[in-house]
Amino acid sequence: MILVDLVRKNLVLLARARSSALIVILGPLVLIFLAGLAFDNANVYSVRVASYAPDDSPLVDVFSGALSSSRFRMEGVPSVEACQDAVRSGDAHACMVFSKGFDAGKSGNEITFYVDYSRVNLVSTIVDVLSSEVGLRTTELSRNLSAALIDALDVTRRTVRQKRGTLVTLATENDRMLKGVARTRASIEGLDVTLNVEAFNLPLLNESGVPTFERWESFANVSVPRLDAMLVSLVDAEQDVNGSSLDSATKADLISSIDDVLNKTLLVRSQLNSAWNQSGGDRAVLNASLVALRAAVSDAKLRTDAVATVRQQAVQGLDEVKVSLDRSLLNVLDMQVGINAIDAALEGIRVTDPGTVAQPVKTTVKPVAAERTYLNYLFPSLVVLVIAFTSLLLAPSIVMFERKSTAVFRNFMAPVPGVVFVAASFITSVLVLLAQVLVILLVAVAVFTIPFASVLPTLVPGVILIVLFVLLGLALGFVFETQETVNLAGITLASLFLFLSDVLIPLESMPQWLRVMVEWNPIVLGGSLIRKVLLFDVSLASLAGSLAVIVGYAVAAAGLVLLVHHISSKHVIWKLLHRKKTK
Amino acid sequence: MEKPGLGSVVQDSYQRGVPADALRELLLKAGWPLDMVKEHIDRVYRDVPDGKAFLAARGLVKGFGARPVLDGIDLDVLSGEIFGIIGQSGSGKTTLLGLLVGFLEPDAGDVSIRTSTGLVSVFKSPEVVKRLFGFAAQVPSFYENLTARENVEHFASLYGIPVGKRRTESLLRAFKLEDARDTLARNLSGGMKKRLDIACAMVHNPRVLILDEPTADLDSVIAQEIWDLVVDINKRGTTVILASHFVQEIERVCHRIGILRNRRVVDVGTPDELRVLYTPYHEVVIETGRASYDALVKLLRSRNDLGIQKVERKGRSLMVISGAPEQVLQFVLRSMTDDVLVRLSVQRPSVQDAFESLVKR
Repeated sequence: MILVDLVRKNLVLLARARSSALIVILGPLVLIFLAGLAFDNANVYSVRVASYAPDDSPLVDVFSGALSSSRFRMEGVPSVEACQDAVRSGDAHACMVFSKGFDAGKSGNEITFYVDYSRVNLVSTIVDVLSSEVGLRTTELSRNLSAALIDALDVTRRTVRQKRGTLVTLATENDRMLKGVARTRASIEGLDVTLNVEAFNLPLLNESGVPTFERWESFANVSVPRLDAMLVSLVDAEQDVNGSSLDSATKADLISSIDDVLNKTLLVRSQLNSAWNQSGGDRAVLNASLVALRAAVSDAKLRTDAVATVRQQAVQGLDEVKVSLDRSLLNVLDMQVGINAIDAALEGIRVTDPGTVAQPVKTTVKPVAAERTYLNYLFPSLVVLVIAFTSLLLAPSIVMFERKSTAVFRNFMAPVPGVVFVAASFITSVLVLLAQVLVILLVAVAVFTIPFASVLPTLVPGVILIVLFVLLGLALGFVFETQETVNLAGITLASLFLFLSDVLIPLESMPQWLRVMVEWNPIVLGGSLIRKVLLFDVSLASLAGSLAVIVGYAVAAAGLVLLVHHISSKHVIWKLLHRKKTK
Repeated sequence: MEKPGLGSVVQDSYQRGVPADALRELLLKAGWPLDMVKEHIDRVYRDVPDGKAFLAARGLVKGFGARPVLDGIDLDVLSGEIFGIIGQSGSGKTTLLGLLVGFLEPDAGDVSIRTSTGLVSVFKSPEVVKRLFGFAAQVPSFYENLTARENVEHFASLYGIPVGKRRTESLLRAFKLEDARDTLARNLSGGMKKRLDIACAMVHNPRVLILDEPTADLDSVIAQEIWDLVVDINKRGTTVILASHFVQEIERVCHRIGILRNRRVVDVGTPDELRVLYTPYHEVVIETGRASYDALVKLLRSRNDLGIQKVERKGRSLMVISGAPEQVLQFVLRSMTDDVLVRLSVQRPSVQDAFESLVKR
């Protein structure tokens, strides 16, 4: 009952201390409401980007245009220094410098961003958004270049496939030519163009100086068939040469020689016939004919020798052609192997989509929670910060109300243990904080996008945090002597918790030794708990470990409160008794 | 015929610190006859008859660090009296009050109070002491941002006294605060604040009321109101122990006074006893029509047989301090030949004078 009366009295006093009520109670509510309105969006508004490009190029225009068409205000500056100065002076949030000769298809294209890391709360967002936007344009560029490359490869593959048949034809033809050459060579080599003059037995015609008819007849009977056989051979040879794969000059040369021999042979045959026909009784004519014949035979002999020489040369030429054809065939086969390998390699290229080549792995970042405004991410931390700051200001203020009130002497006089007053201050602070957190959560439900179902589970870690920070605040209230010093101490302690948390700077960016400490910071633990419960609907049972840690903190803080209260009470009586009016 | 158990109920209530007024109301509501209730309450609650020692301090020594404040205080406070402690500023009056109620631990000595169960050391039974004593320190002790009524109710609740409108109104009326019941304490006048402070100290109807400098910073009219209130409280049966440096005021209301000097209570007695003890002289006050005393002063100072200690002009009067006031009177009457005697009186010096005399020694 006494406890209830004391709590009621504390609440009345708190309500009547208007300035305190405004600062301590309404302040955080207004703060979180404004923060909620400010962060209940997912955009980066009014970010100014200064840009400098040494050379104008279409690609520079593409990037600048892309950024300005999204949500950035692009401002061109005349130099890198001016660009950096714009960031330093705050005229621009980021500076974007294109490398010299920045254009499509050129190597060494580079975009350098200058940002002000002292604006730690904004820089990450700006860098993230700019990188994302520039990355998008870069990927587009890569996709275009890759498309051209893949088109060229496709054309190559189709051409190789087409020309592979030509190579087969070439090899076949080469092979056929080799065989033709071999056959021609055999034919030419087998060509008998020898003219056995002895066989004409021309000396017989002159044996006695006067040829006899019998001898003539004998001569004619021998020579004429032979000449006819020779003529047939010559005609065959000419056909073979024509059908061979010899080059045309060689062919012409050979055919001309054969024709020459043929003509001479025909002449001999003609002369022999003529001689034979004319020799019917005229020995003189016959003799003359024989002489002429002898001359003709000799001449034919010379010519057949020449043909033999040419044949030999032709055979040699055919041998050389064969060697060349062999080599050519080998080259064609080698080329065929190479082309086949190219075709196989091209066939092995499975990625034909330019997008896949430009960006083989696509990364998509999606929120694990349904909502995507900054408020959702900040809200848990805001709630914890409100709890911490308000508790560390309110609880010591209530203790100070009590300690600095003239009524404390009379309270001390009463038969009520001092710890009851401590408990009353504790309960009062917890009630006020609880009301604040409830209002904050209800405002969040009503105005923002926090689901109502998450509110009640959030109260569990919320209440434990309130208990912890209120106890710490009470301890401060008993340690310090004046309202001013206790306010300063409360703000300092709350700021310490804030700066050594992940609210301003990510844990991952801290040194390892500091991170280990900061991970145990109640603001970090509490923020994580509320985030999990509020945003991810994680069950409280699975968070028992973290909750137990904060409960442990609270138990330790309660011990601390009792200790400092006991120590401070020892010295309070004399001060109370000797308190004088100051006016 | 007496209902069985009334005695034990009253005894138990007394030991639990239930105020007599509240107990009386409860018992009457329960149907107990008024005379029986009064008899039992008077017997138990007034276990120490008026005039008997109720509180006794023996050999009290207290210092703060190396600075001794009190050294061997022996003191008895009688039940039903108003006991005043006077001393110079810094003489240890407040410290002595703190020791008497057990708020401060002495370096040596003890303070005991007589209860229905015998003598109890205030240092060993703080809870009993808290119920028996009411304390109004020099600075009023209440919540500035609560109304007079809320303050009374709050402090009553600390003693487990049911907060009833009738009782609250009765208390406010007794302390002339009924018209300010809903005024925030910070907006009360100085005198009302003091009355509220004493009301809060009296909320549990204590056996002893301790007042430390009750009229400090108050004008004379308001101070007189407070003294009247103190006397009234005492008349209703509450023993009052007060400390003040307004000796003139104290000597008007206190039954006995203790003088604190050089870390000790050098004397305790009624105001008259102290006057006699410290000032064997009398004060002869003379006022004439022309109020011209130069010749008379010369004559008085020329006479060694008149035992004159001091001759001083006070306004239109002349004050003569003398060990032989009768001779001074005769001499003045004889000397008054050319002027009209307007006033001639002989009186003892005040305790203030006695105190000053003591201090000058």
